[in-house]
Amino acid sequence: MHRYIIKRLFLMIPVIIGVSFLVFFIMDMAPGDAVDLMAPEGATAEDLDAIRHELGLDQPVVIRYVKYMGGMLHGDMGVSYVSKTDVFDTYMEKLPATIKLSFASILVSVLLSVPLGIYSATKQGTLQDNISMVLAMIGLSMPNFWLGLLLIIAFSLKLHMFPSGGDQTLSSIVLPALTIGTGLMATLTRTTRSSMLDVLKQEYLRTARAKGIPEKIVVMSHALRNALIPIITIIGTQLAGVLGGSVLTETVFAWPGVGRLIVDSLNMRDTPLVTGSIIMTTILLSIVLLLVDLLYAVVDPRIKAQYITKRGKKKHG
Amino acid sequence: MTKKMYRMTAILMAAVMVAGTLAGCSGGGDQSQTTAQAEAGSTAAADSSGTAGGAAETKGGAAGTADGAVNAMTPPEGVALKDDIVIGMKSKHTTIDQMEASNTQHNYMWRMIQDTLVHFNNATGEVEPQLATEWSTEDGGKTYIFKLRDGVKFHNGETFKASDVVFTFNRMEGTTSCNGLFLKVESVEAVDDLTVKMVLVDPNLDWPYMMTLPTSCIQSEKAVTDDPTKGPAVGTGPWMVDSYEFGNYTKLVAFEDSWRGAPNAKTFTFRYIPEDSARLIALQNGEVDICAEPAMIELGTIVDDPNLDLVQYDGGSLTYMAFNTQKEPANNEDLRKAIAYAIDLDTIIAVAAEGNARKATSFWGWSEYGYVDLGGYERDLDKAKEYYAKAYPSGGATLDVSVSGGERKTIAELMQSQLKEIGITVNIVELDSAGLSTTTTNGEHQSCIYGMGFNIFGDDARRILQPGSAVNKAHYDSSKVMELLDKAVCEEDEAQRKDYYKQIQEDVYEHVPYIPLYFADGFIGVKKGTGGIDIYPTSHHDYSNIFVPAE
Amino acid sequence: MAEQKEKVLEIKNLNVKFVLEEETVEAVNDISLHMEKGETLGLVGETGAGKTTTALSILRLIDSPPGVMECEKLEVCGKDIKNMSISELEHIRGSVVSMIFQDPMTSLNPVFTVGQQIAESLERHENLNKNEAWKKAEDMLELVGIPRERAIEYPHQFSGGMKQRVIIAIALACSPQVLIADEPTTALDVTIQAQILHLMKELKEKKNTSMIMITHDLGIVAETCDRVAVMYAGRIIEEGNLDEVFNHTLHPYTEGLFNSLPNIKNRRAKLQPIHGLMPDPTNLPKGCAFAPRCNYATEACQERRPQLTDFGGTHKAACLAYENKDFHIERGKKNG
Repeated sequence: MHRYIIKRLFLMIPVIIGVSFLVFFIMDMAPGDAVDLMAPEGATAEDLDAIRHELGLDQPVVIRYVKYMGGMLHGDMGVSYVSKTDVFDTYMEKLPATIKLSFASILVSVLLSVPLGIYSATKQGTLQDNISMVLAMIGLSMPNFWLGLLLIIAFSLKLHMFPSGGDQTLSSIVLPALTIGTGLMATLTRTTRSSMLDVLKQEYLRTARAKGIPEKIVVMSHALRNALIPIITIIGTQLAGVLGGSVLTETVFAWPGVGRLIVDSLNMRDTPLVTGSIIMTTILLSIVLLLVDLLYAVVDPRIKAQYITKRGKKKHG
Repeated sequence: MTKKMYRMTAILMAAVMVAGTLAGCSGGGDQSQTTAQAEAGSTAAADSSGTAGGAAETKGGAAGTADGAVNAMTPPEGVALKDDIVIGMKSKHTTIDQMEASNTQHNYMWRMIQDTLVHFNNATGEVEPQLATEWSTEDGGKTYIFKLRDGVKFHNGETFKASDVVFTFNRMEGTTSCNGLFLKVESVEAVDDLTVKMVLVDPNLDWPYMMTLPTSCIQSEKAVTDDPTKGPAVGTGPWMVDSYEFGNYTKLVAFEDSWRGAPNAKTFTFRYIPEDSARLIALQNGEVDICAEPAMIELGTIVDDPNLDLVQYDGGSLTYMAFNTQKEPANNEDLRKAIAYAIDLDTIIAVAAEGNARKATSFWGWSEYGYVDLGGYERDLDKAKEYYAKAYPSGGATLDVSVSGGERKTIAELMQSQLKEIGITVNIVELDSAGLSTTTTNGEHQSCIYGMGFNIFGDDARRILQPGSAVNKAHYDSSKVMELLDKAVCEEDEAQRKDYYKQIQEDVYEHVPYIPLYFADGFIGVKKGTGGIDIYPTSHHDYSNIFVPAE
Repeated sequence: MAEQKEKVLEIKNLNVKFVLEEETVEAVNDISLHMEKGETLGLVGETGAGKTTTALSILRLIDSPPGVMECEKLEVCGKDIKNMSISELEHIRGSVVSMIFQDPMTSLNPVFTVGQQIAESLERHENLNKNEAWKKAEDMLELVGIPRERAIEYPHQFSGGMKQRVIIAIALACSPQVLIADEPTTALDVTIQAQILHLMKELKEKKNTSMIMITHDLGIVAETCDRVAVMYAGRIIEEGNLDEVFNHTLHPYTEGLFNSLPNIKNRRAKLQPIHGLMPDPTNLPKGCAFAPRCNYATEACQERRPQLTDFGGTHKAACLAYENKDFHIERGKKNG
């Protein structure tokens, strides 16, 4: 198991190198550079060159990349062109808000989707099933930006129940989490439903029923635990997705998260901040996906056995 | 059967969305009406707000409420004021060091936490004492002596001295926004604790004006030396930075010992709310007290809301079209003239600026020293065709116009159809603002729609006309203009100086490297009764004396 | 004598249909069955004859929809299963009647330990707390010949035969009065088959359980059953005690089953499989369902549906050929 984890962690290195390479060079190829945007309106060409030199931007991109990666080896992710702050610190400043919002959104999505998916699976083919699926689709069909504004108008402007944005009070998180959560609902509900449908056909459920286990427990315990793997996979992927930042929702709700950080710094062509943030996000996502894989083992003893016996098998064969 | 169900729902939902959009459109119609009302009411309101006269005239807000002045300069007697004020910002703060950023959102902050040596009075148009009580030049703008105010305290308790000025000017070297200023100075020295002597590289009579800009705010030597990160925010202004989170908020607290006197509130927080509608809702909700840069189409909401005021002012930012004079096809002056006479500016203002703009008649800031009204280019298709025939006897001209979305894209689209009438084909090249900025700086464009805020001093035009300057989007290279600029900046005879500037404007008018389009009106949404905002046409307003009535 | 014995199961006129969108499957038609305490009833027939459906009906485990179950009477140990509420039923399932399923590979829940799966029904039916139930679950494992330490292991860690032992342990945990074994050894190796059958027989005798043994294997029937009911296309076509059905076979179909067994005494003898296929249960013929495959079929067989008729003793069969008094099937001739 440990070996498996370590192996997975090492696999992150080539991913990070690849991602940083891509980001760095794409940023270089994109028209526009940070200096031009930061400089005051009256700047002359000499002024721009001075700033460029100050930032090391007068060197070829390959050299800048090698330097940047050299810094990475020492844990130095560079300094933002725009804010002159340490990239890692800047990212870390935004991360808590994003983590908070991500988990709240996933919570909303799970609390709504999993029961709905189970319900419609047990009622497969009925009107209730169709209604549930349509409900789930609504979340997907509504653009987050639009839904977010609707929620603000309804719950903030008209009902005064929640603040319209920012990350200030505990209740600030409700509307953005609802916005993202309902957007994730469709996929999760459908996955839960189809996974449950597969499991509900299994013979071991008949065994459980023949033992006299009440239907509720058969569905919620015997069936659900077996249906969890695809559900966890989707939850994990969705969590990874929202941890990368939900730009539109963060923008509507003025949520100080990672997504907006990346997009804002992209607009400013702040290469170190963009590269650093994307590397951090990559690492975060890899860890989340690893945790999801490890969670499989907790849920399904057969998968756990695979992780453990892999090593043994190699020894023998 | 299931498939059918989904299809049905899809149709239903589509119908709901269309209905929503329609509702939105009709709402838009209402708004344009109410905006018109607001303007009608504004004249009356402006009369009653005599305190905010001068260059930046404050126009009234809510229609039919002309009895209470919008944005009064002093709080009314006997009204309780809010201690904690929040402003919703469209753009974010990226630094608390004034040498690293000089744009609207940052300048708000610099004007509150810092002081400059001298101050530009918007109402009188005069340069006034600030940290310096007297200033003089005896050699035609080459050497300046500033006498400093005694007993001014920095936020950290240090007393302001000449050495702080010297330190500040030396620190400018290599910084993002102040390096240009640094390069203009040959030496700065402290004659004594309260006297500073500046020697410039070239004589410059605009220097005192330049000393009013937020880029020349004075920092505390001790504070920056002690803490290079937070130290630059330590100034002498009536507000000090309490906390700051990059890209989220900046919170200021009152500095009671300020020589300018204590402000009218205890805290002032900048909150970054990039989405226009969300920012306005936050204002309606009372989550913020000021909504900066409300969206043009939502102004009606502010006017209609009895709890809000709309502050309207004549903006100093010019929206213009720039031709790349160094490149085909726009290096052809006759083509440029043909375009200048073919475009219909009134339509452009009505559509792209929703009518809330002032027509630009000369390529010069209307609040800038030396401005002359040259009348602009009146639309004249015969004249346009004549020039076009001269430039392209067989017709078939095409022109790329680079834009970065928003209302400037609308302008380009309008031009596209207007120029089609005389046979010029316009291709719109849409880029993001970073891409547009760099391609136009590098001269890769044929033409572009761009904007610039003009400062008050005449030499400010230099940056947009001087070859090699990043904002010379026309890449205009006229030795005559440069000569005039150089003469003007050190000409002590006012009439002569103004004549030089007039000649420059006439040159640009004649050769059309730029077509000035309009100065858009500025708007601020505020809680009813809010005042104390010192409006700058450049939109770098001073919120130091802001007050908001308590609920 | 049989009358005095306690009846543990009585089914009268059981019908089960599966109503699908385009068609209706008539899986079980007019079946009546009964069983006495301690008795083992063999339910024999080809795949698709309706044996498993009949067995599931006893626990009312037919999925509905699409299943529709109707009967005149369904009683287990004197309890009226037919009109029972679901929660009452859940107390009967696993405690009074339990079931062993065909495929041990898929009948155990892969994410619970075998101990949990045995203990679960004990906790439910015997009012035991967690610890007691766990102890008893370990006891049950030992009873079926699995070391008690393995209770914490998961199904995938067991072989097929071991899994079937676990399933037997689950079924027997609450000492049911009626045990339904649905082809309990079909999925297993022959050597394991014998072990499992032996084990079941032993446990059944120990606890004096009545058992329905569902199988298509006549050898297993001969070894374990007291009485036999042969099913074809959802109907019982022959019924009687072991001797009656095996040695005095009446129905041509039963004969066909015997003929398709390899003959150990005469290895050169050709196998005589029953030609043709069982009729489509969505479209059963009007007359005798076996008629199309029957060597003795007459015109009457195509027209009329035979009823189960007494042939003396407990022996019953449903075949129109016997309306001709002289009729004998070939096997009948041989055995006299």
